[in-house]
Order: sequence, then structure tokens, then C-alpha cells
Amino acid sequence: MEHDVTKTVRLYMAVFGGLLALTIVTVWAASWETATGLGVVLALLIASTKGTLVAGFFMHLFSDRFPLIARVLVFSAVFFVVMVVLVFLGFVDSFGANRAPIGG
Amino acid sequence: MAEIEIPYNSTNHPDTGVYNAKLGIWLFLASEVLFFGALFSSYILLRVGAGGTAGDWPLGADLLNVPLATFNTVVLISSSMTMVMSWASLKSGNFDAFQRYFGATIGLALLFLLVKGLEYYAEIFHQRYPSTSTFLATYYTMTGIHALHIIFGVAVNAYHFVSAKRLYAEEPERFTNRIEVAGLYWHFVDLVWIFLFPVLYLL
Repeated sequence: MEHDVTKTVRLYMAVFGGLLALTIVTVWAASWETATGLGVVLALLIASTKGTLVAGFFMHLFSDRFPLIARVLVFSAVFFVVMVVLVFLGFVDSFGANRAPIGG
Repeated sequence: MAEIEIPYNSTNHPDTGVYNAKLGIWLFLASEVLFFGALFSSYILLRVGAGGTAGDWPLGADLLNVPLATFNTVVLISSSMTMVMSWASLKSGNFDAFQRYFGATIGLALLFLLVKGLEYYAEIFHQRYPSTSTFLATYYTMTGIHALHIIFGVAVNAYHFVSAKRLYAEEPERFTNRIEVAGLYWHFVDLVWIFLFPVLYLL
């Protein structure tokens, strides 16, 4: 048990170091190039990586195997994606708002 | 009057595979994903709808204090680290280390709030109010709601900190689980900031 905790603490330290390094890289990437959109994509990719590290290691999602919790989270993720897609569909649909009415 | 024992607060429920509080916090966090998801979704709509020219949606770095926000990001990540270390300390039976790490978590959270308050003060000093622009309205709404989550987390952690000795002495395993549950909430709040920071300050 003691050995396991020591190993886990070492893992947490490594994750912590990774999170700090990625924070610096995020700031650097955003200042590097935002005009082309590459900086935007890079900054969001780094943020997603950091989020995965926190959820996976600090919240134990990688080590705990609980199918019920996984199902709950997948359900939330699906609803989130639907929410974003609906917003985009609404935006794309507004392109046709200025068209002349049919038969008018 | 006979005491009624609440089942599955330190042992896993045979049907769910987790103790009840852990299932409860994950269900709550799932609802929080949707809550913050709605805010991020609104942000995307407002930003995309603002048009392509730079003047329609300002660059966060031009209005907000990026070095201060970067410092706050480091503070919050550090508090997540001390939080997980406090739980690991309890798991290895080291109560003194738990108190040190848990106290540091609360201290770092208060530091985050102080820096956030300074940021708000600077924005308001420069007459940048929520009513000034859609960007600032979005900024104040998202960071304000996040700060409220931090305040709630500090309150929960402070309760556990002051009653730690008693709770740990009564039921050590249940207390360890309580800290894990409080930690799951805390890491989620950290996770939300990890996305808020680049979205509002850098892009």
C-alpha cells in the first residue's frame, strides 16, 4: 500500500509538471500566431490535453473502472455536442434570412 | 432513539460499483458539464455571429491582464495538486500531511479569488463594465460563475478543514471518501478554468 501511494504521488508530480509546462506553451502558442487560426487550434488542443490530464489522473478516470460513471459522462458529452451543433445549425440557417420570400 | 446508519458511504454499492457520495458527485458534475457547456455554446454563437472583422470581437489579450490570468492558472493547478495530495495523504494514513496540503488548497483558492478580484477592480477602474460590450458581458458572466463555484468549494473545504480531526477520528474511511468527493468537485472547477483561460484571455 505504502509503495502504491509513493508511486501514485510520483505520477501526480509528473502530471503537475506537465500541466505547468502546457500552461506556458498555451500562452506562447496564442501569442505566436492568432491571425491564421493555427494559434487558436493549438491553444484549444493544449487546453484539451490539460483537461484530459486533470480528468484522467487527478479525477482518477484512467485508473477507476466504473462503467456507470463513464455512461453518465458520455451522456453529458453527447448533449453538449448536440447543444453546440444546434447553435451552429441556427447560425448557418440565418444565411438564408435575407432571401426574397417564395412567390413574393 | 436508535441511530440509523446511512448505507454505502464507505463501501461500494453492489449495483453501482461506487459508494453513494461518489455516484452523487459524478451525477452533479455531469449536470455541471451541461451548465458550463451552455455557456461555452453561447460564447461560440456570440463570437461567430459577431462577424469576421477584428473590431467586432476584441482579442482578449488586448483588454484583459494575461500575465495575471496566467499566474491565476498556475495557482489553480497548484491547488488541484495539493488537493489530490491531501487525499493521497489520508490514503496512506498521514493525517498531518493531509492538514498541510488541505490548508494549502484553501489558501491557494483564496489567493485565486484575491487575484480575480484585483482583475475585476482593474477592469472596472478602466470603465470596462459588463454593459460595455458583448465580449465583456461574456467575460464577466463566465468568470463570475466560475468564481462562485470557487467560493462554494472554499466553503465546503473550510468545513472539512475545521472538523477534520473529529470526522477522521469517528470514521476515517468515510472522511477519506468525503475528501475524494470534495476533490472531484475541485478538479472539475480547475478543469473549467483550463478552458476559460485560453478562450477568454488568449484567443
